[in-house]
Amino acid sequence: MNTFFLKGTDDTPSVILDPANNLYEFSGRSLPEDVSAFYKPIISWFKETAVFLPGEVCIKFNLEYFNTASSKAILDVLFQLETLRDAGHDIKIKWYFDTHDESMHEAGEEYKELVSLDFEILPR
Amino acid sequence: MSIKKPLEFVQFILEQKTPCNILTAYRGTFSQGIIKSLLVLIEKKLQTEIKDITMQKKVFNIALVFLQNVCKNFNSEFHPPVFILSGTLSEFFISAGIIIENIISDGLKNKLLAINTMEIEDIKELHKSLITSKELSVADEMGLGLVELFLKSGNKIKYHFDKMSDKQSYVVLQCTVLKNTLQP
Repeated sequence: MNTFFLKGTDDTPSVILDPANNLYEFSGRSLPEDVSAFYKPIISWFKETAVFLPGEVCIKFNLEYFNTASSKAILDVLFQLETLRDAGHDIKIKWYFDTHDESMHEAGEEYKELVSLDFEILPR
Repeated sequence: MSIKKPLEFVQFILEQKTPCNILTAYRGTFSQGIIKSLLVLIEKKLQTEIKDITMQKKVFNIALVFLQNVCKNFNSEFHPPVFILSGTLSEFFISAGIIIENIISDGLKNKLLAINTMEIEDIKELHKSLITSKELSVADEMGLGLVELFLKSGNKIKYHFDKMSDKQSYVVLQCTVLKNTLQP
């Protein structure tokens, strides 16, 4: 099974998609210049690796900041996860927010409304 | 007041009714590298100036939208945008001065007028509709940025359009964050 790993930078999040250890997490800042180039391989990974994923998959979003373009890209990732759910996987989302960050909390609430996934919003 | 040049914009900021401190100001090219450096500077400045972490995050989030959606999108070698983060005892102001073509200024003004007259719940619905769109046009992206500024600041966006010529206008956009709204 392919592991997808990207080390976080000043403007891109750390991404861990590790089926062997059943660990999936986005953390840090998402402010890439080319959002599409950053998120496209992630969406492709979920498409291509779907058959190898375990039945239950918990994806953690532990982001500090993200820009406008990333907000749309993150939603595209969530839509892709809905496809996996429709294919029979038990997908859980854990959306973490800093209790001082109203924007991150509200973003979580908005995504929860927009997707039909098991979506938990948790203080960090 | 007529604002036709960047220095007049700075003067406009300084001539607010109450004494105003400029925390960060930049005029020039808004490349990804420059924006990253500005964000580091702004973050450090806010940590020094504001004890309330919620307020720090709020102002930083708005500055981020200004830098990435306003200044970067209207980058111009000959007329570089101006970004200013300033504050009084009771408010923070996040402002940008940009030069835009008159053919798009009417569209921008109409978007601002529409957003500023909408109720918060309608703005939230508009945001949902924009981020769920398959493709965003340049105008939609601009609209999404303005909607985010409204939602993140919790206040109407102030704006000023000044026609410089038949082709171009100088536009000032400003968000206000009230300091006392978040204090216990």
